[in-house]
Amino acid sequence: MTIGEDWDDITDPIRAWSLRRRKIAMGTLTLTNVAEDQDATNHKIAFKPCSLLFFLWRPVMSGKTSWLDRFIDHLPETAIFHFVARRILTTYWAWKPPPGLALAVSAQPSKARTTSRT
Amino acid sequence: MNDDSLSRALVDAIIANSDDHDPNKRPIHTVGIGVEGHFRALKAATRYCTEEHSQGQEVKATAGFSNGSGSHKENDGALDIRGMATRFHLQNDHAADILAMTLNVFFCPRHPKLFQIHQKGPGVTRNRLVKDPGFSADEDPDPEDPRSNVKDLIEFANAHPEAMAAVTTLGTIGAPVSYARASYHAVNTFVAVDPEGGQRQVRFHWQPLAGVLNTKSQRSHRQRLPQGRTQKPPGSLARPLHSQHDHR
Repeated sequence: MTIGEDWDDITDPIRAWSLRRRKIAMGTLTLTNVAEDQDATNHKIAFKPCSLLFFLWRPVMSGKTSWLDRFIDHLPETAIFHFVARRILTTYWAWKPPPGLALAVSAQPSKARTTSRT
Repeated sequence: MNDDSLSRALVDAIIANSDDHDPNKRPIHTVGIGVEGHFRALKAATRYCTEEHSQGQEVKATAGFSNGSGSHKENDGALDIRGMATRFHLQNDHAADILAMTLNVFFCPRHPKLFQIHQKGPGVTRNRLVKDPGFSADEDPDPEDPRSNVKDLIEFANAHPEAMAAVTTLGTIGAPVSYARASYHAVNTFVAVDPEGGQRQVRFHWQPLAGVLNTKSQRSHRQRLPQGRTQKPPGSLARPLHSQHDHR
């Protein structure tokens, strides 16, 4: 883990931090086996905001591909989903941003997301 | 253009740039392998972070290694960026993720800019930058070789100065002998909270305990390569993962 200084840019992933920054060895990841079910494993580590939006994240986290997973996967393709996202949620969040999420659009997970997930 | 439509347009642009996209597979990081294991934090970690997976107990983890390309036909030993997505499985079905890649910087700071990059016309597409069909990691890129992408790299870097650091690194990145013999960098910044409530901005890296090892170029060991062999067989990077490996 590299520890940044106050003047290091924390929002710009195109800038590498200086190699002189302090580094801490945090731990060891031991890979024990190749997953038997590759599709389920990929599904398990996929980040699916739609699932979180509807508080239905448990089946996705467990890696099972149930009818619920397929339903959730299909949701972004539906017109009602687009209508709700564009006309209602986007407008509402523009007026009243969710706590901690009022950051600039980024190609990478935002500071707010990474902070909340670690 | 709102966030949702921009994301969709970005994925569409990536797919349009791909020569052989399979609609049933992901548009980028298509080839890869999922592995299971566990993470154990060192004692020092508890002084910098209060999260569950930093407290020293063994935490189940899942990792996905991949080639950056969206081609499902790509040999996993090809010249390309590699990705390592790690999920720590915590109590009560919670999880923490670290997304890392073999580049230590990204191509652009914001995702509208990434969209512009992918909208660029044929000849300087991302796929053209990271790989050439039939051009393997066992060969040294020669700018005069018609299959070489060196000229495209230079043209791309000149057109996108903000991507110059990433493109320069990409031009020399080579290919590891195994997904577990590369170092990976998370370009996102996290905020680590210590037990006293102090906050530090941090970036994470994975370093293989066995050491980083790239494939040798054909030029450096051409005499030792079997006749007619131009690249490693498909799956050569995933195969070593069937034995145990450690990352720190």
